[in-house]
Amino acid sequence: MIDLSVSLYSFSIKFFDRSYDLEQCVKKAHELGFKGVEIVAAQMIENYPNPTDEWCEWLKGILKKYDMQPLSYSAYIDMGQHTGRDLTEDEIIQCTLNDIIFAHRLGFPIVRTQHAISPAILEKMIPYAKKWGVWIGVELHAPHNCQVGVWKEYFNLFERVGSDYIGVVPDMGIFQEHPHKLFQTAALESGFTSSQVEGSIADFESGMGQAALVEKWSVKKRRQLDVIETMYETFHEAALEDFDIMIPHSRYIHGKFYYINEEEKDTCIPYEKIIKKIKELGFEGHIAAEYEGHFSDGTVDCVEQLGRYSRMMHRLIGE
Amino acid sequence: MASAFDINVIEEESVENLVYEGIEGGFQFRIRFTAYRGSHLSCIESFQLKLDGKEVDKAQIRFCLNGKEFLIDQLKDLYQEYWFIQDSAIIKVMSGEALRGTHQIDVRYSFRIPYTGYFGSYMVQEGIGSRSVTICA
Repeated sequence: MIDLSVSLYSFSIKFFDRSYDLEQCVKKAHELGFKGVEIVAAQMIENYPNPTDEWCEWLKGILKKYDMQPLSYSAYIDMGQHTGRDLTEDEIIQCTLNDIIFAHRLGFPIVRTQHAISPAILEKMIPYAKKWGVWIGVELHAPHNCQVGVWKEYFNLFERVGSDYIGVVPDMGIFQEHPHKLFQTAALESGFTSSQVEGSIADFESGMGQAALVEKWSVKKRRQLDVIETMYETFHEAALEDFDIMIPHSRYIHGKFYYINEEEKDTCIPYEKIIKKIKELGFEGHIAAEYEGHFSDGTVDCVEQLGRYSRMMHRLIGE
Repeated sequence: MASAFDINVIEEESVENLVYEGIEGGFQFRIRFTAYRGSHLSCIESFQLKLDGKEVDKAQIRFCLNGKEFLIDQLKDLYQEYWFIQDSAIIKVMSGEALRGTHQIDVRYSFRIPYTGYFGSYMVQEGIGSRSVTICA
């Protein structure tokens, strides 16, 4: 059974500009046809990282009111929160334990964390996950794929200890085939002509290295260099076969998207192939919609985008 | 068309004079944090304020958040003060003079993203604000 849920992060624009509060995000998620929610703790929790008892009860009430399942408590490893040093192992363990306890108190069965936790510390978190009844999923996000060194270590760990308490949260952005429309618009805004945008994307897709591309198109302006860097950092297409490695250790997928067109299709991330593949592999769990066009263009309506995504995905999952 | 978070960090119509029982302390205004999520104040790496093009002495600036007031040089240690993304910080300028007439205020701060890059090297972004304000005495 595949369920469709949503990360409230998708409403980042409206939360940031204060046109939505958290309750309005949950209400809209319900209206758009999603089953459960992910909350990005560092974004939407008041008094983060230590919400009050009253706030916890309030959120539980809001989720109940709109009949939304608490699904994933999205946590961070804020390695650089101290000036001049990285977090110590004890600090990483205790801040993750904190996230586990709040996820439990709020009724979220999943804690999504980041690969910086390290395979060794993740293994040490298993007894805590067991005790508090949560599953800790490490997000596999672009530009990573299953062949990256640290991920080989993670999959060795999952093979060795199983994935009842820990596992992987694949982010569908890793399968992006082509830089999306909003990225191309941002590239034009930075001063590239449309033939330069098309030409540099073609060079990138044919495998030209970043330095060679910067030289060929004589990119000098800071904003344009940033655009090229984003292209190289973001658009690494992973092979669909990576699902063979990930799905046995996953119960939760991030349905990343940047732009769904008027025909309700994603021309960059191959969702038809993705859904077909994960069905074949027998994936059971939630896919959470994760709209991320806001970094490229703040004027696109995230609610309209989520509506298109919800209809597209319900169709694909139902087929 | 730019990132949704790429805004003028100085909030509109937020400038007010600080006058205590008839004695002028200075002025204040509100700023936003320009990211999708909040941050520990220790992640703010630099903070610069200009009034009419002239840099304000950072010792006169008070960064106010969560009901507390900090000097700019104290920010680097404040890993337990979290700037919630919907909250504004109040910047108090204790210059001893209230503002009258039209003035130009410019703010520029930089902050590291604590979960990007590890082993001492983090992505650093900027928040930039610029407003011309007219205060009728």
